[in-house]
Order: sequence, then C-alpha cells, then structure tokens
Amino acid sequence: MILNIEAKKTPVFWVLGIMLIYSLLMYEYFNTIGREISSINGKIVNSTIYQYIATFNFFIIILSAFVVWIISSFLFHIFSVLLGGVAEFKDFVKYSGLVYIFPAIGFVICLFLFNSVELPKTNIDVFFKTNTKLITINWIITISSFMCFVLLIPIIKYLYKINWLKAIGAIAIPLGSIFLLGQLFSKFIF
Amino acid sequence: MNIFNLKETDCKKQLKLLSICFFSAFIIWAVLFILRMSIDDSQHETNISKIDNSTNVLTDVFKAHSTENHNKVFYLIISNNIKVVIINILGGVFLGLGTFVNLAQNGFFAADVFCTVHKRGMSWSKIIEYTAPHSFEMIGIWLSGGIGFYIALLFINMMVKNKYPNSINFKIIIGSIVSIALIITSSAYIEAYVSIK
Repeated sequence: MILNIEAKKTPVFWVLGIMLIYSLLMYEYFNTIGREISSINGKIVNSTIYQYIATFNFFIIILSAFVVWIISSFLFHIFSVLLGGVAEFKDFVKYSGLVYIFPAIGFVICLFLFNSVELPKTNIDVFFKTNTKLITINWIITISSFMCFVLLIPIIKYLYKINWLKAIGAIAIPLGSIFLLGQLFSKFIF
Repeated sequence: MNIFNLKETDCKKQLKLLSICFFSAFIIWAVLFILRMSIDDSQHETNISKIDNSTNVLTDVFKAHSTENHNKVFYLIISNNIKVVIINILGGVFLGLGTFVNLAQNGFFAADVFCTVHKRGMSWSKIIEYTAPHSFEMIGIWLSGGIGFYIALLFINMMVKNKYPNSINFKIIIGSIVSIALIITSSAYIEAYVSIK
C-alpha cells in the first residue's frame, strides 16, 4: 500500500531524467571504446556517410535504452500478473526506471577506469580479455545491471503483493528465457 | 470483404492498420535510400563492407554466379532475405525500433551498393535492367517491416490500453508471413535461375 502511494507520487520526469542520463552514459561509454579502437586501427573516416551513420547510431542507442527499459518492465509485469500479482503497469514502470541509476553509476566508473587504460597497438582482442582493469570494467557493468534486476524483486513483491519466490520467478523466468532464446538465435540463425 | 471467417469490421480495421504499417515501412526504406543516393561522397571510398555484410553477400553471389552454381546463388539470396525478414518481424517486439533500424539500414546500404557499382562504371540503365525483374522481393521486405510495426502497435495497446491481441491479429500476422515467404522464395528463384543468366 505504501509503495503504491509512493509510486503515484514519483514524478515521471525523474524517471525519464534517470533513463536519459543512463542512455547518454551508455552511448558515451561505447562511443569512447569504439573511438579508441578506431584510432589505433586507423579506421577513422570523416566522410559524409560516416557522419550520418554516427548521428543515426547516437539516436538509436538513446532510444534503445528507453525501449529495453519499457519492454523488460512489461515482461516482468506480465509474469508478475501471471503469478498472481495485482498492480498497474504504469506504477511499476516508474520504479523500474528509477533503479537504472545503478547501471548509470556503473558506466561513470567504467568511463573513468577506461580512460586510464593504455591500449596496445596490436592484439587488442587478447588485451581486452586479459587486462585486469578491462576485466574489472566488465564486472562493474555486469554487477550494476544485475543489481538493477535484483532490486526489482522486492519492488515486485510489495507492489504486486506476491511472495518472494514468485517475485524472483517474475524476474528470473523472462530473463532466463531471453538468455536461452539469444543462445538459440546466435547458434542456429545468425 | 470477410476473410478468415472473422467479423468484417474488425478485420477491415486491422487490415487498414497493417496497410498503414506497410506504407510506413516503405517510407522509412525509401527516405534512407534517397538520402544515400543524394549524398555526394565521390571524394571518399565508402568501404561500407567494413560495417555491413550485405556487400559481402553480394560478393559471394557474384562468385557463385561466375561458377554457374545457381543453387548456391539461390541459397545465398534466400538466406540473406530470410535474415532481413526475421529481424524486421522480431524488431516489432522492441516497439518497432529493431524494425526501423533494419529498414533504414537496408535502404541505405541498398543505395550504397547501387552507387558503388555505378561509380565503378556500370550505367544506371544497366543496374535497373539487372535488378528490376526480381525487385518485387522488396515488397516482401516492406511487408515484414509492416508486420514489425503492427506487432509494435499490439505491444503498445497491451501496455497502454490493457488490450491483448485476439485471433484476428494472429491470423493477419500468420497470413502476412505466408505471403512474405512466397514473395521472397519466388523472387530468389527468379534472381538465381532466370534474370542472373
């Protein structure tokens, strides 16, 4: 009940603001990595076409962060309802947007860490797999994203009024299914 | 018009929605196609193959064609088109973003291939002569884009209005997928066994 009232009080622009910050940081992180690798490989091209592609990529990455947030929230909502929970999607989506602050902080730390890494001129692939700082960066991204999902469990439990096991299932079943589908597609289709 | 034995008004409404989605898919593809055509990039080699595999597929098709291996040409063309169609349809699950990106990319790179071939000496009339007979495959690709957007609309309806898809929606999607399969198979057949000769 308390959570329901709080959800209604949460201003939408706070959630949208957090999502915007998260998406911009995600873009900056991947753009920095891409730029560093391209500068080493000497593949930076300043033609009109590449400028168009870069602008297009910027908007797509920003939009994709919002789409992934909405779709994943909707999946968790559907599974929570299927497991006997009762709540409005618009209330849940506010909470699920707020927890993206953790991956956003993760990306800030990763950006600082990545700037202190000196990339070698050759064998970048091996370097990415063996360098301690880069492995740490990978772990920070994984843990911060994982934290985001873990935090959704108590939110689902109290908002949808279901038990802990069902709340964990509402997160784990869709995530597990997506992982298995991803594996299936990468092995047999693409 | 009463197809699939369903309510006429519902069916008409959904088919109208699908045709709007199809038209939107065509517009997105065409805008990016025209945009690439209008870019004067004569000072730089675009080298698009570094970021897109469509030109690699094209190279493989040319290699298979030069050895008169028509079955391989057919396989390469149809597998590439199936991938495009699958991404277009499944992109709808991501509120149409995946569909939008794939259509935009497809239109942009298709124009890029034309521009590159033209830059290397082939006249526009020859390019049209080679591509026109099997270009109806584009209808299949736009239709798959249309289904992608249609699925996205169904998702938005579920989220906003709590309205879940019914049998009409599923039958329209399945009917369209069957039509796409027929279009891309016949187009690949014509491309591999008729026009490429």
